[in-house]
Amino acid sequence: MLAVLKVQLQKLLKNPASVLIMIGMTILFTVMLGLNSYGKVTVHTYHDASISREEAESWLELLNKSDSFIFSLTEESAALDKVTDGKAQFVLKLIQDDYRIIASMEDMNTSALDVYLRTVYDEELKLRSIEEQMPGEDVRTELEQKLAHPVLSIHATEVKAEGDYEYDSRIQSLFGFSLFFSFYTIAYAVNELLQDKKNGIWDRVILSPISKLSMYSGHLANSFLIGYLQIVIVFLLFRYGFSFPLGDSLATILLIAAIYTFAIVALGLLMAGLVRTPQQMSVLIPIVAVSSAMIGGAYWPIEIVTNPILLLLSKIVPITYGMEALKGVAYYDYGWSELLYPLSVMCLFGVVCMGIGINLIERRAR
Amino acid sequence: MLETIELRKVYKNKTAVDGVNLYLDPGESVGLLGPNGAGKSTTISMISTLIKPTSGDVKLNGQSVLKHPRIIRHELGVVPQEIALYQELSAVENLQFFGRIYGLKGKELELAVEEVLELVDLTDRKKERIKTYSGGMKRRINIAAALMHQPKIIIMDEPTVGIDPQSRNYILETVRRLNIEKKMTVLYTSHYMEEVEQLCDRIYIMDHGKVIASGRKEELKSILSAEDTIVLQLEEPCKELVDELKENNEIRKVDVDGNKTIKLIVPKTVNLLGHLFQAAERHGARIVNLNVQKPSLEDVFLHLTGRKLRD
Ligand SMILES: Nc1ncnc2c1ncn2[C@@H]1O[C@H](COP(=O)(O)OP(=O)(O)OP(=O)(O)O)[C@@H](O)[C@H]1O
Ligand SMILES: [Mg+2]
Repeated sequence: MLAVLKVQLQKLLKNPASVLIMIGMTILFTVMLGLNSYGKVTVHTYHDASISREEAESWLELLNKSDSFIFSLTEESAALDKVTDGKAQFVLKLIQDDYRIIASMEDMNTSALDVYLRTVYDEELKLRSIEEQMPGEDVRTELEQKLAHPVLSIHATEVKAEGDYEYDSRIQSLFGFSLFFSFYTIAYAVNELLQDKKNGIWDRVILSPISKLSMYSGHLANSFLIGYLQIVIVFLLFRYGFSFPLGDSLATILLIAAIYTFAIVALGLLMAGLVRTPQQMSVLIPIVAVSSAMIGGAYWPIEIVTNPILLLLSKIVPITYGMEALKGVAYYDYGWSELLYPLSVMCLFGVVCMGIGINLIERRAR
Repeated sequence: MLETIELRKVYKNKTAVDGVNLYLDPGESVGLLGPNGAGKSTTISMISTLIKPTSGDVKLNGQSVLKHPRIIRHELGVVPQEIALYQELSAVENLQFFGRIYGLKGKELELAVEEVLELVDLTDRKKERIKTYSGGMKRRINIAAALMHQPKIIIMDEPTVGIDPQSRNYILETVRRLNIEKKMTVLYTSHYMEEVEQLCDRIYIMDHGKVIASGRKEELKSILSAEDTIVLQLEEPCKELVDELKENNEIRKVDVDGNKTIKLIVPKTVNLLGHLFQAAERHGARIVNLNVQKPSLEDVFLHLTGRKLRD
């Protein structure tokens, strides 16, 4: 097994380009789609005659405490032009103690903006009404101090309502693209097995004293290692380089990634069993990668999918379970009991695919 | 040492190998000759346990290889028909891999690599990637890879296809040295008559999955030795002469080749030459060349199958 693994790694070291490209793509897409929309959405803001410029500016100061949005004050016409020209998805109009979002299209971002604005406004307006009722007292500072040193701290456990879900474009992009691009690396690595068969090396190895089991395990170990390494590199980079909030347990995240990698190695083997040549495999890989990423919620959160057929299909692709487990840990600090289901599905999926895959390949042999 | 017994392989709609019996004695160099699709590679694959025969058996020192495939692993080296090497890796890396799968490591592995590289004379290019090699050099490494574990028997499946005459001679020379100096038993497959004639003591001729003739070179040729081949070249075509020769019962076969060359197969006992000249004179045909040929293995094949070996 080690001889087979070693020679595959040697080959990889001679031609590392494809794996490096996949890592690069993951980073690029995560940065573009994850970081860009996160913390960098500029909201062009204007106000009507009901409030003064000073008032608008003080609201903006408050609003700009957000790390999701940047609010910048512009003229009404300039702001509206941005929406009509399609340069901005939405702009914000400030009115007396309230606001309006003018959006060209409603989606995750608009609702996120709305939720944020509502919280800030509610809080501020409440504070103001207290100030009015208790004139002369510095309610604001007192409240802030109290909040910093609470007499009694209550730990609230959030109850998630149906249809309610967390969304952070950084997490979605990082996990989604890592799992998506690692699929290529893993499946192409499995394809080396077919390549070996085609050029006669497989037969040579069969003639040697080493067992078939060690040949398969050499190839599979190779696919697993490089696929896993790719995911780990990207995760660590964004966790420590960009401080992405991956939840409390990095170890759990890495364990999930390992199980996902195993499932994809097995899926790759099944695909290898279904095709005849390495060329066919190369055609099949992107098809399966893209469709399962779409179905399994790697490009967008699975939660926004409502089509029952797509939801049903999502149950048979491992990426769904990988995303579920990873997001669970990052957003909700999933424990073992919650992880048990997605992880066992991936393990089972892996074992079944591997069994069928090896059988198909062996049957094809003669 | 190694023998096959009534080896057969039937694919869905085709019998690739049809009851082949052959044997190799220690130290022998044996040729397996046949045109494309004769079943040579299939026979080799069955001997080396790569594919399962439909029926029949392969025995190594009397033990069934089918039942105990492991016994042949260390004894046998197979040079496949295609170049089965990692093109992106260097010769050394390839050879190391093929050594490792036979359990070689460390110093032992290093020495084995050096030794086979020397044997195929590619030591000075050992660090280069296989894909930068010429066709002939690839073939040489392809052979070297099968020698890493110092097998007692080496089976080569057309190791010289598609390469220049110089590399071909080099490979033939290498095979001869393996046989004579290293005392390896060689089974050499080819559809080049000359190669087998030059290299092998004993020869099997296969066609359509069957062994149609076998024996020592001389024995095979003696199939034809009862007959002579006379090649006659005329200045002008002469139909009357051909007709007369065809009517002659003593001549076994008259073959007109390009209508000025006439090929006659005649029993040795018949003295035809006097006749021939008289007949030519009668029909006013001038003979410009006359040649009594010794049979080659090529002729043996032609005789046995009525076909040329390479069409
Ligand atoms: N897997 C297979 N399925 C069906 N038919 C096959 C298979 N492998 C070989 N054959 C057929 O068996 C016959 C013998 O093939 P084989 O490769 O043994 O010939 P060969 O003597 O090695 O020819 P060549 O000189 O071209 O290498 C051929 O007609 C081939 O088409
Ligand atoms: Mg062949």
